[in-house]
Amino acid sequence: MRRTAQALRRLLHTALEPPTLTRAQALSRSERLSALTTLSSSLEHLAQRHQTEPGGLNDWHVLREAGPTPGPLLRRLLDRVAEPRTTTALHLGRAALATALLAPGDGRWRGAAQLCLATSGALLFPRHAYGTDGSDQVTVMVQGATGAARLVRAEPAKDALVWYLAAQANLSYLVSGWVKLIGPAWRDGSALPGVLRTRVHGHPRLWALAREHPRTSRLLAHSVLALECGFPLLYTRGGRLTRPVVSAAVLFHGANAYALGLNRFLTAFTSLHPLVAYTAVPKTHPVGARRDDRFRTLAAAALTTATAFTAVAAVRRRAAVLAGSPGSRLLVARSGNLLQYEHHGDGDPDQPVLVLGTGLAATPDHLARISERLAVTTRFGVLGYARAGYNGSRRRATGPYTLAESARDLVDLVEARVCPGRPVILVGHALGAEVARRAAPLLGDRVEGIVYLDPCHPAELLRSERKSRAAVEQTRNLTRMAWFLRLGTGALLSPLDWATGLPGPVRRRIHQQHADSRMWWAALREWRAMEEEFQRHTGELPPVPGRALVISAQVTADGDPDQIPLHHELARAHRAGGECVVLDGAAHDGMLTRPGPARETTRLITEFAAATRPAHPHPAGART
Amino acid sequence: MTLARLLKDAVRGPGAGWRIAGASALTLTVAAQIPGELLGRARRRDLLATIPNWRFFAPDPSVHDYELVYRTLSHQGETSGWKQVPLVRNRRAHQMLWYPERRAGKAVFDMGTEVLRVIDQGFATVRDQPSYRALTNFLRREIRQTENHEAVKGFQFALVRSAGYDLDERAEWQFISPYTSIAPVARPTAMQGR
Repeated sequence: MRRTAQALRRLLHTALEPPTLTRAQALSRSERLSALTTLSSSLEHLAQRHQTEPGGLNDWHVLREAGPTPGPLLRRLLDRVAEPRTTTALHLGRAALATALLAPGDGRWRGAAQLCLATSGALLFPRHAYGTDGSDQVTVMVQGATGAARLVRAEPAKDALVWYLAAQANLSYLVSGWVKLIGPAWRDGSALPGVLRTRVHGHPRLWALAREHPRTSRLLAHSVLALECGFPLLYTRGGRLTRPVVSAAVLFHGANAYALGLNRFLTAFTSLHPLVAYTAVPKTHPVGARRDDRFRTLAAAALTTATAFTAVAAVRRRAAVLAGSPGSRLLVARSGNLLQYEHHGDGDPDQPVLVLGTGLAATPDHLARISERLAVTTRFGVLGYARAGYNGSRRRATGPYTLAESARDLVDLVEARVCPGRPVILVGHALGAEVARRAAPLLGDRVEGIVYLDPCHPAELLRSERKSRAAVEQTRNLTRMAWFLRLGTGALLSPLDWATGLPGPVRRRIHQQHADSRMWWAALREWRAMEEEFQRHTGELPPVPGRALVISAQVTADGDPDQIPLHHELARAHRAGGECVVLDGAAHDGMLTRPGPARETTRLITEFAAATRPAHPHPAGART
Repeated sequence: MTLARLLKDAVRGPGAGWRIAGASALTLTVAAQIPGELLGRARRRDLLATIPNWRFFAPDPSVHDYELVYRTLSHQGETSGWKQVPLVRNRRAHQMLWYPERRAGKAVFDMGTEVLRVIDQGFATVRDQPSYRALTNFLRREIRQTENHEAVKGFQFALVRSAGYDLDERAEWQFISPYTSIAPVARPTAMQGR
């Protein structure tokens, strides 16, 4: 009994001993492990060479069009690398070099060999774009930095490179763990059986086990989360936690290799562990005492500077979003909400005013192609506005938000900014159309009609299976965007392709509006109210004054057979009759944002408005 | 040592260039880890995939497969039944060390994800995706190799989202292509710039 206790104590002592790995040892182990990954990867590509031939999944004639466009020099280099004989020769060379790196020795040639592997690995990445994974990326990164560390002579430079890889290793576990916590499937434990049931990543027997033992499966998944989220803790307690944490990580990658078929991840990620262990050697040890740790200071400073920069950019962006477009004005609605609106064109006083309303997570600039064209090419008045919470419009109403609040705001806008007696046509996209439908009875006879652009229907969540399924995703996406942008990530917003071709100032405004969390919070609020109200919908639609034109996007109609009947119901609800049109080749957003479909949408709106009877409005100040 | 002194010390002396480059690359990597396609500006120009993506299976793991199925149209106008392209083999212990076929399975998964990402923008956009063209060419070759291709005039393919080994969950048809000719598309004689 005493002996067993002593043995256990010795074992625990060994397990909790801080690492004493030298830099040379760390580099040597790391380069051998990553050489194993390269060897396996290149042999895999050679075995699957038919996939790079014409008709293969990685046929270069198709693949070269994928991803960002390279410069002419890189384009020529990639084309050369992608030639079948060159690709094969490169993989044979990489396999030979990787094998040579496995041999004993410590020469400087190893540095050059590693840089060759890193460079060729990076150049081959686009060639095998479909089917690559994180292990390929890790290996290029490790070989590039450890190769450079072998070649540079200054000790601080070597330590900087090792620290860089160790920091990336810590980041890899931290990001993987903390980002998983955002996903409900990881939190409730359904993620592990979910992944294991797939053929591409899973394992049938292990999936059956996970399903039979849900508590154990959940415990296992949560243990992985704990390991990933807490990985950097190995630097605490004088490095005593390094061995247990790294051992657990090796076990984790081994399990992934077996269960998920991620064989190359085992050697790819464990190649980072020796470098982590070296950086965790305590300063009290001679190895730690000699190590140059200034990289940590600089990395912390760089991250702090980047965070400060994004915070300042977010504040400036918010100010620009609140200011709105140069011609915008403000109006206080009876709800207390402050509405930002813009007269795109006054039109002829005897012609109707088109009041444009946007969909969820969209601002008046979303309709720029249509509003500008209507203002320039027709004699109608054109009035655009942002619902409360979007752009410079602020929600000041107290109490829970309902769609009726937006409908009343729209009524107030029309009554305050359109001359009495002048007919109004409400034009709304998606949710904007639903708001218009609810506002129309409150506006009465002055509503000449409503143009519904691929509209929502209050029964869609109950009657459309596709819409109902997409609702969960909608909530998730809006919530995440709102939170990420609130954390100041707006600077990372990719350019919005659909805005290409719009005038520069409009494009810049659209980018700022989408990079600011404000629009997304407003959209989330509206979506929650909309979802709740739509789920409770019963009965038929109440009668709506005026005529209707329902323009459905063809992609929406093709993708969801339940949409067209719903759109027809909207048209039928109008007292003066309605018409339904399907816009060929148009998508839900594309009907507004793509030049061709937007032109066609504008034409249909113009024709619909042209049928309006002339009016005799009273002149009234700044009103349209 | 004051903070200013620490910083000054970090950007000077031997290895300063490597420290600055490493700290910058690390910051860029952090910026590239925000989930969601819209916030992917940091990785937008990274053709060689030098900025790692550390969000493995996060935040939402892939719990479905994309099965690739096709049917053919004969010259007589007869349509065959749907057939599945077998891409992923049954799991074996040796795959822990050697599993080259996994790349093909992963490739189809990546392509399926790419096609379905733009499906809301209409077929004109889908058709322009390299993933769609690669799948079409792949199936054209597959049919020519496995069927009596002289009797085949064209084919149609679909991406079906399934729950893999879990047969209790209904598979869903996510995308169905139009009929496509079996005749090979003319290839460019020389690589042309984009």
